[in-house]
Amino acid sequence: MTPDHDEGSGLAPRAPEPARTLAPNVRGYWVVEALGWAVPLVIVSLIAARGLTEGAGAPGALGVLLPAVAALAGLIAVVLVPRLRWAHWRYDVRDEEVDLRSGAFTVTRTLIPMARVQHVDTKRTVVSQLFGLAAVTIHTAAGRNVIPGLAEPDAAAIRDRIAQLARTPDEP
Amino acid sequence: MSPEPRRLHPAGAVLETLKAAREALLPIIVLIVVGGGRSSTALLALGGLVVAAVAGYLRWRSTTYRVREDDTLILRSGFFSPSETTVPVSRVSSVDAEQGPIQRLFGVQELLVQTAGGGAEPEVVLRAVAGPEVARLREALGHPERVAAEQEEPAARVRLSGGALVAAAVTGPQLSVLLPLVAGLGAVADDLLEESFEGGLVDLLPDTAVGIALVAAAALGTLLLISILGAIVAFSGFTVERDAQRLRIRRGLLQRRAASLPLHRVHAVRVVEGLLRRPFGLATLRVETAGYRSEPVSTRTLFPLVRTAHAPALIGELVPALATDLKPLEPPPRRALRRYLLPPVFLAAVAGIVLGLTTGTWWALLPLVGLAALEGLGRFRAAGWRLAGGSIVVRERLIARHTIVARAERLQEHARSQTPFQRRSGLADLAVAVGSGRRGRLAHLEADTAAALFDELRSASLPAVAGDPGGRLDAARRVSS
Repeated sequence: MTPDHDEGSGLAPRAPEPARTLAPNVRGYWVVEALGWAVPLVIVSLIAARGLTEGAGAPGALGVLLPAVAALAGLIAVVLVPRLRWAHWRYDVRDEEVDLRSGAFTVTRTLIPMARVQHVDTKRTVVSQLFGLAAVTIHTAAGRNVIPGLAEPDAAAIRDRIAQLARTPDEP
Repeated sequence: MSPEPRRLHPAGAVLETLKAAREALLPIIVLIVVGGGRSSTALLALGGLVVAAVAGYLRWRSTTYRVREDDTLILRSGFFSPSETTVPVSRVSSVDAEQGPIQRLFGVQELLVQTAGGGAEPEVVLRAVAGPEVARLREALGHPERVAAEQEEPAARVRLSGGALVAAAVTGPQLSVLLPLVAGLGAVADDLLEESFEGGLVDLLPDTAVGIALVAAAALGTLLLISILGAIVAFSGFTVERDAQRLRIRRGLLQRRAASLPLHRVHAVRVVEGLLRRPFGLATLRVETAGYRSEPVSTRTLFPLVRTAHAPALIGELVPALATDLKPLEPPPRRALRRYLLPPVFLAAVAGIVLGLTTGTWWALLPLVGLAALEGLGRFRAAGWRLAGGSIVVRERLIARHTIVARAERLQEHARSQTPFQRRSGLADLAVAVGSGRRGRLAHLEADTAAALFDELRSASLPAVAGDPGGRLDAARRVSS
């Protein structure tokens, strides 16, 4: 491994790891979001299993297996995923770049130079407002990156800060 | 430029009339078919033409444009429902001139004005503008063309030779699209033949396997010929010129197209080595631009055909900022090969098994898996990168081999990612995104190399923290090898 280097040692400095976390109650928001599809999924799987075993004469094991798999997937999405996701999300907004890191299993780290940011916006959904949360979307000429689940005042502050920093005239 | 509203060249009325006539064609045909009368048919067609001519004239009369003193282009159009489009001159990103057959007949040009944030369609289309007015308007919109070009010789001019044109047409990507089509055609012919035994059509069709093969071959030949001719028509007379600020690309046999592209909008150049071109050491050069009119692939062509060995020299000539060597590339480590092979082979195996289960064509399984393994091997051997003198080169393969060349400091973002499996064996992915939205992906690099490259790209984008470029990379390389 190469050791850490600072300026002047002749090597590119290592990017500092992002440190800020998302709002803690984003876990609750993600739970509600996951329930939004997990509950219908389990219901549909129950109906489908009933139809298959009684109507179409499929083996009885399927009538148990199908809802069980759906319930397990729903449970993971509702109980496990929000915690893991929150625990592994980190971001930082520095003067010269936006730094994002996320993923419990596949860890992805993304750097967006501030000079490349075209515009920023915040988005709130009906549900996210109940939690007082907003998402910040950062647009570049190549696409967009989203920081989900920030407290509304934080999101507004970050949006304004990025907009301010990105205003330095620079072609796309 | 005078702030008074101006009309288009009268040829615009003819163009609008033809457009209106085209729109009215279908209703007229329907009327004729429904009516069925003979003398009324001619009358109806004549009436349609008159209506089209009146509509065309009105459209022409009601269309005006002007560049106001506050540097805003204003286009008014529509007789019955007038609309007004306003484009600040500072937002105009390109002004393209095109000349269709009608425009050429009248010696006028069609001007397409596009802004940076624009969608697929140009914001303003002026269908007929006379020569002197074109120059004046371009000047007023901040995109002067010929004036500069005629005063100073372009710094570079490259023309596609006749031989290269034919080679480009013959080895074009159309062929790889056509082959499956022909296979489908064969299946249809098969069905037709079966039906013909019952329906008495058998006399009309050649009734032997040889006959079917002949029909299929004729269809294939026709399709091929059409596609080759299409490419020749599109790329005929392909010429690129560069001066200090912009590229001018002209092409086309029947419809001469001229596009002007500011050099600073070129975020990257891509060298594409198609399946049929790579064996001959040939490639196409594409430009990756931001906020430019999204048009058919052909207009994003910087040059249709070049020897891959000469590609760096040509890129340097046409887009000097991207002049760099494309070799040598740093490959992923040998132990990554397995990971390159697995995904395509797995997909092919699943596809083969599904095919076998549903249609019983089990014989296809092995060739499918074999082809997928070849593709995986190809991807492994194609993968590589290079960061030298502030230029980043990323090569990857997705059937065709793509080499992206960009300035490191102009990347829109870069990302490193690692799956749990990669973590176990010390590998990681790296992706870079250029201004057009295109991404270059490097799969399964040495994790240390990916981390070092990640930091290197970061310091390239931040002049303030730049260290000695390449230093850490060299260190990482020494450690990993």
